[in-house]
Amino acid sequence: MKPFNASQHAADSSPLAITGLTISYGQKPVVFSVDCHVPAGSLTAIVGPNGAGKSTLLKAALGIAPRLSGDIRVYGQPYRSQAHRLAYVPQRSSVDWDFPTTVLEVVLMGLFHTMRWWQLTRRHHRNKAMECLTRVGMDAFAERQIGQLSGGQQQRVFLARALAQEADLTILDEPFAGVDAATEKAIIEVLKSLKREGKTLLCVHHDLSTVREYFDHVLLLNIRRIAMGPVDDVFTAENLQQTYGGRLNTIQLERIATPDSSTSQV
Amino acid sequence: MSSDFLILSLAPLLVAIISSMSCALLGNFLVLRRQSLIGDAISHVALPGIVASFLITGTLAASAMMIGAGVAAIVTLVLIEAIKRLGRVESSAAMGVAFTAIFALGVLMLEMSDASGVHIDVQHALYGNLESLIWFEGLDWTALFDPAALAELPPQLPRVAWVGLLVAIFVVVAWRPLVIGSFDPAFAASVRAHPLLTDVTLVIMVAITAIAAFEAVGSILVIAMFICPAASARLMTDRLLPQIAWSQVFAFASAVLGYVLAGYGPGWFGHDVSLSAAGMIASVSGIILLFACLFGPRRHGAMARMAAD
Amino acid sequence: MIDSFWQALTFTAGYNTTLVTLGSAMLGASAGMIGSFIVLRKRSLVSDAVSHATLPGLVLAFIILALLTGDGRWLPGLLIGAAASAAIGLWGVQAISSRTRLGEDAAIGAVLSTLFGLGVVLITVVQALNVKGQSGIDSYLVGATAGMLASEAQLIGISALVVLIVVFMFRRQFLLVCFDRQYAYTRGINADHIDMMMLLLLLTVTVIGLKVTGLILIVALTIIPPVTGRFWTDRPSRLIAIAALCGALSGYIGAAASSSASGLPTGPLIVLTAFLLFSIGLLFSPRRGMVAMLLAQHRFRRRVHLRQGLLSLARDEAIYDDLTLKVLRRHGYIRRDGVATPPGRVAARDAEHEEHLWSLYRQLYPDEAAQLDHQGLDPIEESLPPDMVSSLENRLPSPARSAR
Repeated sequence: MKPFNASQHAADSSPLAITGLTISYGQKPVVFSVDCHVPAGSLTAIVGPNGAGKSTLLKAALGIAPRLSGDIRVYGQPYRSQAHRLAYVPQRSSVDWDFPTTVLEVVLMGLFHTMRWWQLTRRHHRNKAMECLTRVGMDAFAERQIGQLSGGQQQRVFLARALAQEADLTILDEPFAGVDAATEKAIIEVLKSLKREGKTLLCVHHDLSTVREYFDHVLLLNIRRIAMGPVDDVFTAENLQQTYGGRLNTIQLERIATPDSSTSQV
Repeated sequence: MSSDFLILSLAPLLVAIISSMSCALLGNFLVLRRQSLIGDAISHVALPGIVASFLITGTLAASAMMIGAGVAAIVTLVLIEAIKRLGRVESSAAMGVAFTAIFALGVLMLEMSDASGVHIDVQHALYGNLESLIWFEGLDWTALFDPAALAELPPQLPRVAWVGLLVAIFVVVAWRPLVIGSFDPAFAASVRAHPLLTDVTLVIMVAITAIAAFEAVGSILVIAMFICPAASARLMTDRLLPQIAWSQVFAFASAVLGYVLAGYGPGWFGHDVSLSAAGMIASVSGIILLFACLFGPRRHGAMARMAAD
Repeated sequence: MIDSFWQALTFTAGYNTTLVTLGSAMLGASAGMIGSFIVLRKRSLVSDAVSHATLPGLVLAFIILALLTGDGRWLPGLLIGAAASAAIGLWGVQAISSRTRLGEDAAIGAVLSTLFGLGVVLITVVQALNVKGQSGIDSYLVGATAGMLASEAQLIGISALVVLIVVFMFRRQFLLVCFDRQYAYTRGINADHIDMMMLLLLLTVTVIGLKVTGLILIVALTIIPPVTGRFWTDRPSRLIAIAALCGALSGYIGAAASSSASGLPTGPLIVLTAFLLFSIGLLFSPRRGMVAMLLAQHRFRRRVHLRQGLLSLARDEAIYDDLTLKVLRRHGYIRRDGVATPPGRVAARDAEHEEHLWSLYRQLYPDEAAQLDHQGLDPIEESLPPDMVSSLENRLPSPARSAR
């Protein structure tokens, strides 16, 4: 059913290797026995219908959600020892944007692991944070209160915070949800430039029409793993039908899954 | 006049100011995390803790009382978590179940034992008794420099001072985890800023502060000190450090104004009585909050302000 | 003491005691009933703010009554004062949480502590006034039914009965608003008015409960019985009935117990009785009780590990998880050294076969599969009709192992 032995030895070096992960709330598994090895240097999407356990899978990978069984390795090690190599961008809606803080201060949170409690925030910390803000095109907003930002701007600030962490593996939970077209473009540019630098990115994604254009690998998930691999091999009408069940009609499927119809102009 | 002030008012005033300011400091985080009612629950169960410790040890020694109140606070928190998780009860309802039951147990123990005859009774536990903190040696200003006289200061004063210092150190040391964990717990967990540990430590600090302040100002008024100055400060600014500064100003102002109004207010109208200082401090902090709600420059959320523009 | 407790329970301890016991039971029932809606609206601690906010009005009424008549202890007057300041407190909570950026938690905490503080200040005014009956105020803090007048007990009982009837009449509207405000609007129900009415009934219960349980503990009667009810049923109408019953039992037993010996405070006994009923539900309810849930969780966890372990055996993968190994060994499916036993191999083959059937079912009937709760952990013969299973068997590509 799944190519186990092929990926077994790849687990040692994989930025994120999940084996046999089961998570349940009460008596209902939200993720069942999922194996997933994210290839190094890839830009991987996790795709699946609502309630398929996408965000939960990420949270379990970070040790935030409790798991019933399974093993999770980050660069071959337990998560705890590798936390500094990993950056996490939560869903925008998970925080209180009325919190009394500025854009710059949020980005500075990304430098948490480099600062001991007695160290004050120095000029080079601020410069670093400003660089990250510039990279997402938000440098002009550094001193704004975060509540004054639009949804897209908030998402870019979150991305800047992840950039500040200089992580090898960045995990993003729905970074394109509810953002404007300009932001979506800006974010994907940043993600692609990170990939060119050799970083690995894993991203929960909900827009099927852009999967081919944005990502090189994809994990199709609906509580169980439906398929995982390079987009061209795995992102097929058959697999999507299995992932989404009757929720996608045939015409939609054809359009999404054929490589030619939605080719990227990039 | 000056010796009157030293004997009768110096110690209570300082106790009020220090406990008020340390409560307000922690209160900022409670308000931001929308956990204000943890303070409510903890301060209600200080009474049962103290009664239990009296029944077990038979003394009213401060240390025994503090430990009793601390244990009661921890028992309550564990009970709340257990009810929430195991019974799948929503958090404010779980709190309501736990602290009322423990408070009821405390009152029952108090009424059935001899403790009510001794120093503690329900009223004191609820209202506090700032006025009883008399410094008998404070005969004149030189007493402030006399070690022997200073040693006779009511023990509550050094106690709240130590706790205040502890709170300040905690906030400085845990500053980044506190802020990150309050803003974005999931991110905090991912950078190993220990949001759970921070959470628990914050609640323990709240308990310690509440217990130290409790003896002087009473349990219900402790809630006012935790919430009112911090909530008022929240309506003044959009930045955290200025918010904390405002909360300290408000805490100081309510303590001083409240104490003075209670002690001297009736005298200005020709009545030779004094009113409850703790109650007055809570009332003043509430009036400050009322003004902040009406006129605070940041009384609406950022979203609401944008919509209004 | 046991004797007098029994007498109070059987209403043979005299007219006053009987009235008090009945009145408390009635109070408990109405508090449990209106509390159910407040708990369903997830606003349990609003009643905490309301009850603490009664103090300044109560004391102010006492002062006015004392100045006018010389004695401040006239229950109806005190209750009117209490209701007035509770209404101000309620309005304060609403205004702060809806018109400023502060959350409801901060609003509740601020209102309850400030108004209580004001009440404490007023109490010291009473002490300074030196009027008759001032020790009576203390009884409103933790409740005292000893020495309650028959007329007072009647007032409490009758008001509680009125609340009970009103809540019963409007229960459907209340539920609708608790469950889905938008839908309530489309049905022509003004949700704001209904909300207001629920809060006013809550306020009434709080105020009439002051004398019985005291202002700090009345909140317990509006929270604990509904939460207890939640353990025993998922249906709102039953929840309300159970909450009313628990409240009534708590009031009845608590008040009877407190009358059995002098110096026993009524409020704490009522609340502790309610908590006892709550604990029984928390531990032993078959649906949501702790014991039942822990057992179910334990069994479920083992089932998941067993299934995952068998699948790994079938696919010849190494198993590292200790619990999985333990479960497999316990079933005799593997030997100490981790090698599968013959029955283990059979079970593994069955598990994989079943997994294939389920996955085929999900592929062919995705919508029906999504409806199923167990996500394919149960034996397929038990979950699907036999003809479906055999049709799946027939459509299974053979050999099944090569399916991918």
